[in-house]
Amino acid sequence: MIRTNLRYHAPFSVEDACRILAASESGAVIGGGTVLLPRMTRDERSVLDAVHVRNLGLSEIEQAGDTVLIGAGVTYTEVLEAREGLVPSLLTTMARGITGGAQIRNQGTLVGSAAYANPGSDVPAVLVALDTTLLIQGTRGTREVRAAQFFRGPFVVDLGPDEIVTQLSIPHAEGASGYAKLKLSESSWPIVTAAAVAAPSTDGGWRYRLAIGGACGVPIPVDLGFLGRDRFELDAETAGQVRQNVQDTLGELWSDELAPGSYRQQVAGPIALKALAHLDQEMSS
Amino acid sequence: MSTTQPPGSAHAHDELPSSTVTLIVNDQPRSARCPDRTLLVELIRDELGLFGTHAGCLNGDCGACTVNVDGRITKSCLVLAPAAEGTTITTVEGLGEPGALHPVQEAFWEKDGFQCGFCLPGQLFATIDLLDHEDAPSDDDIRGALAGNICRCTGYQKIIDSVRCAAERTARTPD
Ligand SMILES: Cc1cc2nc3c(=O)[nH]c(=O)nc-3n(C[C@H](O)[C@H](O)[C@H](O)COP(=O)(O)OP(=O)(O)OC[C@H]3O[C@@H](n4cnc5c(N)ncnc54)[C@H](O)[C@@H]3O)c2cc1C
Ligand code: FES
Ligand code: FES
Repeated sequence: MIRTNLRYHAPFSVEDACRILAASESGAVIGGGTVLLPRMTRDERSVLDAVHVRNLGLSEIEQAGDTVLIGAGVTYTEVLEAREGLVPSLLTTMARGITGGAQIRNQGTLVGSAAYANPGSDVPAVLVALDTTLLIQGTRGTREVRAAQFFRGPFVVDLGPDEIVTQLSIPHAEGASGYAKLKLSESSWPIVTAAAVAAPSTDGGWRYRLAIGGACGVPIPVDLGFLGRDRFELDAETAGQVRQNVQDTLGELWSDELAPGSYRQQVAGPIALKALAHLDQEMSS
Repeated sequence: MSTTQPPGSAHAHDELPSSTVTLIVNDQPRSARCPDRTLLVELIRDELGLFGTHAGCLNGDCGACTVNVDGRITKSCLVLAPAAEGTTITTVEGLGEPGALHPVQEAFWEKDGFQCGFCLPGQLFATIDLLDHEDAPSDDDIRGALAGNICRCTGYQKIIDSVRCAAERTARTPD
């Protein structure tokens, strides 16, 4: 049972939603509720005004020029059911691997996961690897924040109390992708995730991007410039360089009850290589 | 629904912010007034008197509270009751009844797919959802589909046997 005497709001415009949040002593947006509701039930989070996204018209996945826009109400299942080619394959692979059963994939949103910013969750590193921009609206207007800047720290994001993430804007430039994660059991949170993308560049080659989640408090983009623009071969030398770049890039390490930072540091390189191996495989097919 | 109430004023009143929730449950129109903080599982059990939906962890983990909301299986402890306004819900009571069980219920009965039965509603909904998407699921498909439903009695093997049996039965049942 939730002990706070909260008031439920399901406004029909983002402006109204932001106004309610701005006027509240303690407001929160509900996306799918899969994180927020248990936190309220456990009395870890006290909310007086719960503002649901359900009537905001933000449940669409749309193509807009060369970007794909994913609304705040879009669930993992909706990503999996999107017509072929609409969403990057990295998102589909990630969504397929969300645990907790079809129920959680039916209920949880990508934006809710981003806004919660649990270091060990799947979404953050994926958004960074895809060079996603978060579209944000508040009482003072709209703004855009790149994923790499949105995640400020463990469970901390660049979002004011009156602001709502309305959409994710993802450049539709992914040619191939690879995703890997290490977790202790089917139902546990990932310890380290790695998301790799090969985007076709204008000169006919490739631009490679890699992001590591769970090793630090925020997702870490890793420089893969040494791979150049050609098709790479994942030989021993390349693998060694990837491992080195991962180690050089990791900042302050994240520890929680699942694993200490030192363990995450050790496994980050191998998980990155696994993601690159999947990427390599996808490029070959 | 209290969409027009002023925000941040809850502590100013003794009365709990409340909503009247109108929805279709097991093909019947139902309506109940409850505090906004009520979980859907609490509405189903305490207001609508449908005790087949179980409240286990209230944490999203166990799956015992699973119901079908607008065609999607849903953990009802992760939904606020007022958010169910206007939805169509099926609970385990809507699947079948003694003497006329759903084919998936029959399969669980036949293969001893439950002991205490606490997890059973969730296992049934997860199985029906799987078979809606996959006529001939592999063992991996079955295990994946049940991943959101915890059982402390059976050791799962009997549940997997039940799902396999249900798949065979539904494959044999013409639409
Ligand atoms: C059993 C179970 C298994 C899970 N498995 C996984 C897993 O395998 N991998 C994984 O990464 N996660 C997992 N999760 C965690 C989580 O449920 C999801 O990642 C989910 O995507 C969170 O989204 P939501 O919409 O439910 O968030 P909510 O609970 O609605 O919100 C989470 C936070 O974000 C805020 N928020 C939500 N939407 C917005 C918005 N539009 N603007 C601003 N703030 C917003 C909320 O106020 C809240 O603080 C699991 C959870 C459960 C219960
Ligand atoms: S009571 Fe809802 S998942 Fe356990
Ligand atoms: S039969 Fe008892 S919990 Fe599953």
